[in-house]
Amino acid sequence: MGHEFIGQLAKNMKNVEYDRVIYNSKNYIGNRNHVWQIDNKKYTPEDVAEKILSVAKANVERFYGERVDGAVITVPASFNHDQIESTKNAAKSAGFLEDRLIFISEPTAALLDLIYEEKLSDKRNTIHDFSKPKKVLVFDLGGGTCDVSIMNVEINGDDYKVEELAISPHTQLGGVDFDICGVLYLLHKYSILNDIDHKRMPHHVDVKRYIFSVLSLEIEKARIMFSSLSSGLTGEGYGDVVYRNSLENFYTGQSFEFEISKKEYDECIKPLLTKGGNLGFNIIDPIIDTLNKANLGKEDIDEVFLVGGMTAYSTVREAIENFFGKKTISYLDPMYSVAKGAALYNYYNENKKKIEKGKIIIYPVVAENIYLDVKNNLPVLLVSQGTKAPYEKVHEGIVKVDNATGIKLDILSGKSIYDPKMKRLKSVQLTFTDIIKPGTPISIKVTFDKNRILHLEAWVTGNFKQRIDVTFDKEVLYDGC
Amino acid sequence: MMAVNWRALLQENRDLFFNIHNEEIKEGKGYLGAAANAEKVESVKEQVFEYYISDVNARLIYEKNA
Ligand SMILES: Nc1ncnc2c1ncn2[C@@H]1O[C@H](COP(=O)(O)OP(=O)(O)O)[C@@H](O)[C@H]1O
Ligand SMILES: [Mg+2]
Repeated sequence: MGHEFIGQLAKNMKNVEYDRVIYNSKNYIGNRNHVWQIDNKKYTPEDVAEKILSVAKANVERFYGERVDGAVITVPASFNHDQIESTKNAAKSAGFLEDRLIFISEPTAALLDLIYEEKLSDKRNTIHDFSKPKKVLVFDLGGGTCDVSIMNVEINGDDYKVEELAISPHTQLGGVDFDICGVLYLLHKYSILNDIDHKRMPHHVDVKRYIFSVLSLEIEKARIMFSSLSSGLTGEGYGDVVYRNSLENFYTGQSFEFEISKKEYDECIKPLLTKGGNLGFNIIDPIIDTLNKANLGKEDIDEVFLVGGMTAYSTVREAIENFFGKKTISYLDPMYSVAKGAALYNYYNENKKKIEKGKIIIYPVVAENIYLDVKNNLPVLLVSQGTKAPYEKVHEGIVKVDNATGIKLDILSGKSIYDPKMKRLKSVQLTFTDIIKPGTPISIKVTFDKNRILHLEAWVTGNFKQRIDVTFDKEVLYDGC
Repeated sequence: MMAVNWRALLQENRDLFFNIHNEEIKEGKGYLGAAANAEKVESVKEQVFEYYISDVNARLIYEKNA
C-alpha cells in the first residue's frame, strides 16, 4: 500500500490518480453502507473524516508545540444525529477526547465571524447593526452541500444571542454539480471537434472516471479564475473572460485543446440558479423551503449572508441578490468564515467560564417534525419542527404494548405525517426483562439538548420497579440540526 | 485541429448545449473520484410506501389523501 495524502495534496492528484482519490466524503458520513475501496483497502466516510481530523490535529500541535485534545467541530445545520455521531467517532479515533468536543452548526459559526468583524468595525462605522434583533438568512454553498438557515441575531452589550428559526434539510447540491454542468459542456465541445457522440463514447467506467475527474478539475480551475478576474465586473456588458487549456492524451491517445468563457459557463449553470429549473434542484428552492418553514417571506429577511466557497462566484451571488432584491453580505472570506467562527466560539466559551461578560447563547431548533409510529394507526407527533433546545417532555402512555416480550419503536421524521419524503430515523426493539401484558401503556420522555442531541427514553407507564432502561443512548434518534 | 465558430454554433444549438438533465448530472457525479460500493439509497418514497403498505396505515393514509 502506498502513502495516503490529505487535503490539497490529495486534490491535486485528481487528474493522475483519479480513481484513488476520495472526495466529498462528508456528504456520506453517517451512511454505514457507503464504502470506498482502493487496493483492497476499504474506507468508510468515518475513516476519511478520522484521517482529515488527525492531520488537522497534528498540524495544530506542530504549530503550537503542544498537545491538543479538544476541538470545536462545525457541522452543517442539517446534519442529523447519525451524521454528528459518526463525526464524533471519527474525532475520537483521531485522538480527541469526547468530553472536549463541541459541535456547533456551520451557519452559527459563520455568523460569529460576521458579528466579530462587525464589532471590530464598530468603532469606525457599523455596517450591519445587530443591537436590535435581526433576521439573517445564511446561505452556505460548499463543495457538496447547500445549507440554508434563518437565524435571529441580537447583540446585547457583550452578549450575543443566536436563535435558529429554521434550517433546511441537507440538500444534495454543491460545487460538484456546478462542475459537472461544465464537464458536460466540454464533452459536447469535444464531440463536435472530433465528430463523435460523447454519449456513445465507450462505456468503460474507468475511462469515464478519468474523463470526468480531469474535466471537473479543469472546470473548477476555470471557475476560480473567473472569480478572480471578474470581481467587480458584473452585469450585462462586462467583458468576457476565457479559460484555455490543453489536455494531453485525453481520449484514445488524442489531446483535447479547449476553451470556455465565463459567459458560456454561466449559461451551463443557469438551471442550477433558476427557481423551478428543469433539473428539479437549484439553489433557490432550498431558500424558499427554509422561508416557508420559518413562516417568513423574503421581504422579512433583514440580511442575507453568503458562506461557502461557491458563493465567491459572482454569478451565484447575483442569482441570490436578484431573488431577494438586495445586496448580500459577502465581504468576509466565504471559505474561512466557518472555521474562524469555530475558533471564536471557543474563545467566547472560555470567556464565559472566567467572566460573566461576552456570553454567547445559541438556541438550536429541531429541523423537522419527529414522529413515533404507532401500529395500526397514524404516527404520533413527538417533537415538532422549530422546537427550541433545551426541551423536555414526557408523553404518558403514548403507545401500548402489543407483544408480551417487547415492543418495536419506529421513529420517523418529516414535514407532516403525509410527507412523501418521510424518513425512518431509527427502528429500535425494546425487549422487556419481565413479561408485560399486551395493552400496557408505554411512556416516552423526549429531551433535546443544547448539543443538538435528541434523546429518548421509554418505560412501562407507572411501573417504576420495572422501568425498562430503554435508552436510545448513543444510538439516539434525532433529527437534524 | 478543426476551427469551430463556437459563437455561431452555440447560438444555433442552445438546447443541445445547455439543456442539461438531472440524470446526466447524477451519473457524472458517480464518475468522480474513487469508486464506492455504496448501496443505492432506496428511494425514501418507496421505503415509506413499502413500510406502510404492509400495515393498516396504508389504508388510513389512502383515505386521508383521497
Ligand atoms: N474563488 C472561488 N470561486 C468559485 N468557486 C470557488 C472558489 N473557491 C472555492 N470554490 C468552490 O467552492 C467549493 C468548496 O467550498 P467550501 O465552502 O470549501 O466547501 P465545503 O464546506 O463543502 O468543504 C468547491 O466547489 C470550489 O470549487
Ligand atoms: Mg462548508
